[in-house]
Amino acid sequence: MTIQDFIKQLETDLEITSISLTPDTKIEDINEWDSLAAMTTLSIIDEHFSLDIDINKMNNLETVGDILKIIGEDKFEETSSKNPAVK
Amino acid sequence: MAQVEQIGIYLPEKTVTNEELQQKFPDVDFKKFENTVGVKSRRVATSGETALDLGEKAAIQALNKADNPEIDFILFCTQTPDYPVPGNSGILQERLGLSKNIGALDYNLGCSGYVYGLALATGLLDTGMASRILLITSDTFSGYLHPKDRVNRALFGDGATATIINNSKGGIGRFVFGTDGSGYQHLIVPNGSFRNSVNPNAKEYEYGTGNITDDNHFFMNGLEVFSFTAKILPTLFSDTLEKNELAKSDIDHFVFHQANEYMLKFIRKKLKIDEAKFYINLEHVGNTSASTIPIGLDELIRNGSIKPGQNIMLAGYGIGLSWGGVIIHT
Repeated sequence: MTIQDFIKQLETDLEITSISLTPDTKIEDINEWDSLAAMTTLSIIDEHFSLDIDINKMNNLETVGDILKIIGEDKFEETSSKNPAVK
Repeated sequence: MAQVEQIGIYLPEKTVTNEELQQKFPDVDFKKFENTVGVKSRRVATSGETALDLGEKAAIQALNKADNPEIDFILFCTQTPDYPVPGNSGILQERLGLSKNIGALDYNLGCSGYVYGLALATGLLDTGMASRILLITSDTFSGYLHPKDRVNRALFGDGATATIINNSKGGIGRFVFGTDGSGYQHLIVPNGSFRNSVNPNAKEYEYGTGNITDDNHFFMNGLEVFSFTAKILPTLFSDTLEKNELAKSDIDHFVFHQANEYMLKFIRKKLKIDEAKFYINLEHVGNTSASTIPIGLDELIRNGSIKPGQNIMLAGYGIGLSWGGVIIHT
């Protein structure tokens, strides 16, 4: 999964329509963000990576890029390969 | 050898709907809450209505249904007892007019409590220390919730169940247990017992999305609990199958603790369980802690879904952190 795929899936699963996400998007600027959105983000991380992450950091997110950092940017593929799970 | 003989349910009469909560918390999108968490209304104990009162009514219902008043052990699972001491189980012996030559004990567990109760009962029956056990799960958790704690006020409901377990052959299979005390602070009422007494000046603080609580009331770290459940459930699931020498396809019903619909759907997908076999219903009761599993079993029995010769997997997980699984054969 590439960073683009991940951000696309965030937009889809969190039903974000108010803003187009980039790594620089501030969490506080996402109208749809709430604790359930945080949980959905965890389930996306669990599906594609693993949940072996520091959950406390999820409570102190400032930007979408912080989510990428929690996962570890080295875990993402450079280019989209076989069948990314994006609907 | 142990078998579930009869289940009785008692829910307090007072219903709180999402419409009522919407008036109290106008900022919350209860339509979205309903769609994701799955709760439309919940029952709430009124003042003076205790876990013992609810448990007694559930017990009377189970004993009447069974048409047999003989009980030689009471197990009472509650985290909202009537008194610091004594426990509820002894008072229940007197209220039900049971023999004095019986055992009775309380134990303090939350969402894993029903599975642990079945395990204790099976141990007592298998060793011949008892022959017919009354297992109560009863909580008035609403009493722990801060008036401004909107998510937990919406999620949790009060209620009681009573299960009669006897020493007939078959029935209750092998258990898997788990405990991780390092997560004790993720679901907690910090004040009100011997570590910290109730603090009349406790400071309100915000957590999650716009929820208010203080240290005299319940706190839940939703993300940690979600993460914990996602981590332990796959192992609990496969260990419980393995211990009972069964495959996923041998199981006819999966009745897991009804934490919230969102989490249950996530777990179902993760474990690749057939939707038709996976019980989800929080609509009118919410999360009733240790009572969700027997409430689910009772519903599936009443609507004819549970039939003789089936295997049912039960799994409880929550406060402690504590978890357990078992398979029941009907």
